[in-house]
Amino acid sequence: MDELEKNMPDDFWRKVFDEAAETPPHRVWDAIERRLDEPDSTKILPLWGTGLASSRPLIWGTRVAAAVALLLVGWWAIQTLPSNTPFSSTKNSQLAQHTPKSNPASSSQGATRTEQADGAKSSAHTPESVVSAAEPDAKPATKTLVPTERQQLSPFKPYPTNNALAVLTSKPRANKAVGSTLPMTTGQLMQVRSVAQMPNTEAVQALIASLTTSRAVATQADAANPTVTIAFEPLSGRSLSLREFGQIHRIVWFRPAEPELTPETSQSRQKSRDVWASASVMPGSFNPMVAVKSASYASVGSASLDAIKASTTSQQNVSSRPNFSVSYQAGAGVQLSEHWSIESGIGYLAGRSTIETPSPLSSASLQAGFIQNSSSSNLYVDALRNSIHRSDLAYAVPQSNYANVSNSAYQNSYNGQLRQVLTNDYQYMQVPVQVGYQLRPKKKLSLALLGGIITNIFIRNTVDNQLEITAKDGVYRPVSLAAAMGARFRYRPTRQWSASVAGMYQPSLGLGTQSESQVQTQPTTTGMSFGVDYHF
Amino acid sequence: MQDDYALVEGCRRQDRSMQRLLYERFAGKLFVVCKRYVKDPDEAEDILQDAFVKIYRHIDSFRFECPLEAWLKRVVINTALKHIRKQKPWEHTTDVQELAPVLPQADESLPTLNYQYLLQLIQELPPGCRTVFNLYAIEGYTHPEIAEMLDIAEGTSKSQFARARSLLQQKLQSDGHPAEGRPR
Repeated sequence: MDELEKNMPDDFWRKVFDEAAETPPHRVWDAIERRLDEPDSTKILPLWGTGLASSRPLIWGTRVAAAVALLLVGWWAIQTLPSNTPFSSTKNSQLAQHTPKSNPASSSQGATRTEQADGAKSSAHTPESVVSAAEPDAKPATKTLVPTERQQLSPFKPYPTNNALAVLTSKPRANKAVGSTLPMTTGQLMQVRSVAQMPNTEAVQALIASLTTSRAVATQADAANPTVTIAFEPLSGRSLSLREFGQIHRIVWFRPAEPELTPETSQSRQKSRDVWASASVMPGSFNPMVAVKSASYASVGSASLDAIKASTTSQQNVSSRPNFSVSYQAGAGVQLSEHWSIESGIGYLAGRSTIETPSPLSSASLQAGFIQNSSSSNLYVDALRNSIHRSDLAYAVPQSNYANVSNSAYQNSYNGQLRQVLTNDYQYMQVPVQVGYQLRPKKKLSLALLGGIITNIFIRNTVDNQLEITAKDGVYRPVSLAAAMGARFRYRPTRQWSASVAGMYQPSLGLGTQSESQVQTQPTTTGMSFGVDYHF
Repeated sequence: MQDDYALVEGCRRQDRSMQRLLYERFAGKLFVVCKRYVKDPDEAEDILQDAFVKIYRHIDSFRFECPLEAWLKRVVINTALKHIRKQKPWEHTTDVQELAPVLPQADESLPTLNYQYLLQLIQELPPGCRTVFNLYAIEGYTHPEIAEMLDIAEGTSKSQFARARSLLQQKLQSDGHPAEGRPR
């Protein structure tokens, strides 16, 4: 019969072990009794039960979800925890800082120890620091624990006969070291005699491991009575578990001393506050959206742009078309938070536009009799001239003429079919203040949404190289506001330099001319900005 | 001595004295079972502890369909297997096809050896071999059953058993015991 198909138990082995019995230690029943006294609060979800719960997709889905959750938690822990200095690099400095004067209680919390430390460095150990030391090593390494401990503790031979009494308590788990007393000396922590009294090397491991998570309080007796009593208070929450299998014999959860968190936080905040200076040029289009007041709305005073457009369109008096413009800007910005930034600067805008304006009828021109410069006679230029309030200007016109130009009857004296095309060169100084919201912060290629206010300071407007209107003429508002909105890509190949491309739209907030001016503008700038940034 | 029925009924009432009696009556044998499956005595104590806690908490599920000792042993074995499964001792194992030609046979020339010596031999086996040997040679499970219990391939169970017997034979020979097993 093939034994692999139908098994017949080996009678020899079976008989031997059928009657074999070995009384377990009393601690097993004690532990069972303690567990039975505890409330059975563990609820088991029947993920491996019958029906739908036993289906493989559900089980695997649960596993995948748990794995993802663990990865997220791990990632969060890595992100939030400060970068730990490798234990091997910190322990020596910590060892060097220990002096025999160190407080036993305080040293028990901060001190760390390694059995691989050489004798020279271990000479700085205090007995207390040794007792409270951490030992995150694998099981094979612990076999060399005894001689190494002797080397480390040799400098403390002034207390060679000091006896210590270690009392260990633990969780309900039946551990051989639990509840036992361990005679040992502070100068020679693990003498052979002590080890021999332990049940086995695993128990020694248990003791050493428990020492790593224990707070030790040592009281040194006087010289006459060299007995030292060390009471160990195990930290709650984790019982000892020494498993022997495979390559990993023991996992020791160890967390080295951490630096203060507050300084690191402040440093990181300072580091994340990026400050930069930028220079950019923005070619685009500039449309002043010019209109000449007519009598119908001149009396209203503050006409809206729509009213201007409607009136202008209906009367076909003046129309403006955008033309090429360019603005130069130097600025600086600062990162307020991970996403938000604020920036400002100063710029210069040179905007050109084209105006189509009706020419005057020849008879009307003669009848009007107030135009001094016939070469520039058209509705737009006349309106500009009549809006000038400077008394020292040679071609300043009386206020009475203003009413004439805005009068519909006067405007009818211009020939709507005969139109002149004029170029206007506007010049502004600009002071933008805008905030940015980073959509891709701290990336090499970042994207930010920009929004803010631009203060436009009017410098001059040159009409067809013949008429120059400055801020002193009282036609244009010396200061006007415009909104700014756009999006900016920034490529930052190095830590200090970056290049940016931004699309901007800057509509004016209100009129660019004085309320009493016969010409009204509401400029709008659209363009693509190219810049370089230097990050400090 | 209390009979099994009285013991079970007492445990169902959570009578601590009856629980203690049940423990004292079966803990010795069950402790050896634990020690057959794990080498570390501390681990064996842990398994025994876990198993008895399970027994007391699920004693209601025992309906005398089998002898009480068999049920208790089954609980202990399942607890031990659960413990062993976490350690995955069957990784990097070889299937039986590679080891079948050297399968040793049962050795019947060891009647004088005591259980401590044999227990030590079993404990020195690699964990995977030890588990399969216990389940197959002592508990009497078949390889398909073992494969299902341990969530391994049937071939893996066979190869582990073959390796266990080979190692045991070598150990017995090295200790001076004749290993003149004959085909069973």
